[in-house]
Amino acid sequence: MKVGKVMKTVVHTISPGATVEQAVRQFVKKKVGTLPVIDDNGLFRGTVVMNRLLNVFLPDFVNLIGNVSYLKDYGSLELNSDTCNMDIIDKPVESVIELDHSSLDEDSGLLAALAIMKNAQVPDLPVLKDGRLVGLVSYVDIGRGILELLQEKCSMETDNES
Amino acid sequence: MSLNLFLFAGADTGTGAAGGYNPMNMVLSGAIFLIILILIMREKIHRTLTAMLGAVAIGLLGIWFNFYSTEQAVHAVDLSTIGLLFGMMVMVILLNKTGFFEFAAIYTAQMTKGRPILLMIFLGFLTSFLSMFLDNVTTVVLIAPVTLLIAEVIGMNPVPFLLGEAMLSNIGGTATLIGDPPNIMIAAANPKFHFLSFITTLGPITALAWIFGLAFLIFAFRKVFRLKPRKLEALQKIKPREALTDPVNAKKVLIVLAVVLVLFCFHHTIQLQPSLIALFGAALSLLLTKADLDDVFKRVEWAVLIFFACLFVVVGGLEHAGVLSLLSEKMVALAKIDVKLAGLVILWGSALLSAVVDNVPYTMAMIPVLSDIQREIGNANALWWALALGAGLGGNGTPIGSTAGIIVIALSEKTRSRITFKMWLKVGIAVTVITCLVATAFVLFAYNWLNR
Repeated sequence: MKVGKVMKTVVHTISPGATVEQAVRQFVKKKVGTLPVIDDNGLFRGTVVMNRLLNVFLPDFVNLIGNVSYLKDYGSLELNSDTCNMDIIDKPVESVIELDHSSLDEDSGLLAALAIMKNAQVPDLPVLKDGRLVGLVSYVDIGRGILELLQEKCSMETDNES
Repeated sequence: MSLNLFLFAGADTGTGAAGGYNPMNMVLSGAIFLIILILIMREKIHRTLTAMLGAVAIGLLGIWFNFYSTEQAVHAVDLSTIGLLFGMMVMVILLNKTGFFEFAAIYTAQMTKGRPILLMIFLGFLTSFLSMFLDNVTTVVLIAPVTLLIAEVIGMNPVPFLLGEAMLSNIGGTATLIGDPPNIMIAAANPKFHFLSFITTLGPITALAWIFGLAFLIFAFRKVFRLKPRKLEALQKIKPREALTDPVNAKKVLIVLAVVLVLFCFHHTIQLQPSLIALFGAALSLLLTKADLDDVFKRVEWAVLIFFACLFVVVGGLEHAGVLSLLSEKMVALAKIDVKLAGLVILWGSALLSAVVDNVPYTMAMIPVLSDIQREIGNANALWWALALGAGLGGNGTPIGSTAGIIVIALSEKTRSRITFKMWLKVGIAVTVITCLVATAFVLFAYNWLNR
């Protein structure tokens, strides 16, 4: 089964100059976790992933130490209206985080999509045709595709038995 | 002997395959070593790659000009140093996986109740103490991120603590045979020096230097330390035991480390090389913790080990080309005139050079020189200690003078609390001068004790 068959075709996007605030508003308003960046010519430039964007609010030592599950109170760093870094909000998204450039062609299979998503650690993958965005495939879409295949197999076996 | 006379006299120490030292070989290999030092200092190319290129270059030159054979290059690699570094690295990796270093740092910080000056003293002491028995680079790598956590959580500027830890760990590491790579190399080259002789000789000197260094750091950062931490209670809320994720294996590795340290203390009596003891500790820790070997070996800093191996090849080439004999000759002449002056030249020269170039290649190059002096004047113990002190304490002069410094700077660059070159120099130069003055006092007024 090809990803083109299971992908979502209604995809919310942002433009390359979008600020962090615009991106976060779009994530919240559209209730999505991934926003492909599409330039003025309609070409795919990369993807902004919500959790990566939120990571900029994490203190630096989290990345350096790894396991900080023993730290329950972040003290002076705890997020509140005083400490929240307002400088970031007006900056273009691309200057704050690196865009994810993983994508795949609509003719690719489900396993190719699954492998790329696993390696890139992204929840959704843009599907392209000639460099232009035609859809977005998520783990749920791949699961649905696999389920359809299983059902198809079951019904074929039932037909053969009868 | 004048330079020209020396160059053309065909002085034969039995090292050159061509029978004598050829000025061309000396110039070429000297130039390669100088280029390596500059490249390491500029940090544009990874220092391991620089050392690899240098080893290949000097190896090829040696073969073409017939002064350094492949066999001699292979023999130049001191497996004692590399084995000791590897063994200690493995034990630290296993201990780190248990969360012990986070536990120790948080526990220590909680004892200070977040009082800034005490925090500086206690964390500085912890890092220095660990640096005495583990490589100080490793110690800084493990303690600095937790220091960042503690300082940021309580609302303090982490820069003074990070700078203090790097500098104090450099001083602490100078105290023992295993605390600093130059000491490991000095011990490997000098069978007379054992673990206890390092601690009993360098221990008191570095302890005094440490106190003076710390006092200066507290004075330099007095304005920061006057500020009250904003969220002290957050520090006391952390449960250090939760950071210790694998207490069973932590205990096992700590016991093995303790055994290793005891064996280090008596290695000269039981006639075991420190490298063999470290490798025994590593193997026993791996066995007892049932660690995943692939995972542990992935974490070993192979780049550091390869850096050392390649530098040994380069310095071996320098030795065979006769470059180091030239320096030896001058130093021997000086030592014969005034041995204390030679000690001071070695101490301050080493400190100055270690501040601007990596102290590992520098010490490697100085070892054959001091061996020559020892052969000529007999007992040169004080000069060896001067080298260890200069190479260890001088590293604080600039951020590129020690690997611990480079690591703290690199770590701060990943955070919002950047330590700039200028910031480091402001305190580093003074700390180096103060600590080297302490060492100078010993060279001048306790020479016989040093030379015992």
